Amino acid sequence: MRYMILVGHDEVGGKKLSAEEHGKLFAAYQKYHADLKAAGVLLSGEALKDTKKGARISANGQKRTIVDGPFSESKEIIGGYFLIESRTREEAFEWATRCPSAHLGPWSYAELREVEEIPPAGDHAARPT
Amino acid sequence: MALPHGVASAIWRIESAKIIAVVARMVKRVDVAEEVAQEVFVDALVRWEKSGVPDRPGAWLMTAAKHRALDVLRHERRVEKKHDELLRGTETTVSPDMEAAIDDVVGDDLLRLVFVACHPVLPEEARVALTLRLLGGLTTDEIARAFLVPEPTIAQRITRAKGTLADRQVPFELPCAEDLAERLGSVLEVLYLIFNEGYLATVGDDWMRPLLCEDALRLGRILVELVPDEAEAHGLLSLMEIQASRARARVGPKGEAVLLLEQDRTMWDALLVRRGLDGLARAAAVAKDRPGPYFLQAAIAACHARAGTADDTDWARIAALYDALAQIAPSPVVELNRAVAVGMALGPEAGLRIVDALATEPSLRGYPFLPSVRADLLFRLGRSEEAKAEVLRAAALTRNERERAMFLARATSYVPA
Repeated sequence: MRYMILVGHDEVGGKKLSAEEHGKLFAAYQKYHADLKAAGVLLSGEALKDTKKGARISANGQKRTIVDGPFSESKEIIGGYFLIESRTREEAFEWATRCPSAHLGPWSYAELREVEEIPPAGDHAARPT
Repeated sequence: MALPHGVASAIWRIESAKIIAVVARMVKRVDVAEEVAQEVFVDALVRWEKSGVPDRPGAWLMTAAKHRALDVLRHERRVEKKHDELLRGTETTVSPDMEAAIDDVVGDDLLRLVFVACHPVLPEEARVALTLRLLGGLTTDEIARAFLVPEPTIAQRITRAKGTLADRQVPFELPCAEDLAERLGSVLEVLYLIFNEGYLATVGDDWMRPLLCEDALRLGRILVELVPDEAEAHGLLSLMEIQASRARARVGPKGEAVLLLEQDRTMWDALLVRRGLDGLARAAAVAKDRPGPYFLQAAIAACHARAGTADDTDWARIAALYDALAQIAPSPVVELNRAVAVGMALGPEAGLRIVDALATEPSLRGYPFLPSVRADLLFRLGRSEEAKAEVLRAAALTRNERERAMFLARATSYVPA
């Protein structure tokens, strides 16, 4: 089964870090990435830049609403993700708890989500959930 | 407070191989190492039920395991020392490598464990079970269910395998340079066996078996991190990723098998395809001499993966790759596949020549895909009566009901144009 570990944080909190703290955090993410890889569970993972050049779009068929970044009013943004494969939810959960973003304080967290998988065409009843 | 369900086995699955590997290097015995790891884990669970799981459970377990391993060593030395004193009346000194043994790199230990679990002194099925147990962190019960054998059979297989390793005094060491290719070959074979056990069972109704594909992929991904310069390790992983990418497409709505060229390619898993192609590129980048069998099979799988539709397939390239494969790993099945590719690249007549040369091959006597391939080539040559007879022969040979249905359906489709 595939799971996504989302790196969530409030952008302001991240900006308060000193250069040294940033360096440490970067190293922690590198190690985490390497650990996931060495354990054979990592499928892909990317870091996202801050929201300065991001945009939020919502359209209703007639009108497009666009909010350009930075999203100063939003408390939570996604800073990156790790897509992993694991046999059980508990194993994925264990990996999520090791994500550096889960250890930085209230301004940051790791979110675990299960990836929706399209079942094989003939296999609707095969796997228990 | 009890630990939430599944947490213990999740931690075991993530940490056990590393711990067993490090302890095995210290105590020089895999069976003792596994016991030490299990004892430490049981102790930890009792403790964690009261205090909660520590922030870094892996580090906690590793430290505890190393301490226990040192106890084991000290105990052995004491026994040895008494022997020595009795025999020679001399003092033995504590080996300085005992303490230093603690902080070495885990990666090398894990690789040693891989090579020992797949050691050629063990029969194939023992290597498979031991690898899943020691490196995959699977329980005996999980392995038994995946292989559809009773649990005591697997338990016995593992016990016997560990006994063999101890009796034959298989050292906990990396193979020397001249043995490396052969020993790595044994590891790759074990992983591919595990993968195929799951892959070929996709049509079955037991969901434990397809999980073996994921286990093999996980072990393959671990392996390429341990031996990043070995082209064949990347080749095997690439092959498995590309094959796994087709898992959803190879079973039809009624559970029937769907052959590669008839698959809906939009159902292929694009992420696994990309990972497979990347892996093949890495294999090519680190290749030292001529391509090995896994690299070639991955390259063939990649040709299919790159083709947007079955008609876009680069058959000439596939035929050339099968030709190369037939030279380094000749087998009648490879030859039959080469015939298919040649038949597509150069026309049915050229394909038929290769197939007809296989007609007397004893190992293919009961192989339904020989008449099946022959039928297809004959039909394309306009010899539909002969084609029909051949595909009916294929239907009679197969033991798989779904395959039989597929062959019979083809027989009725073979009408003169």
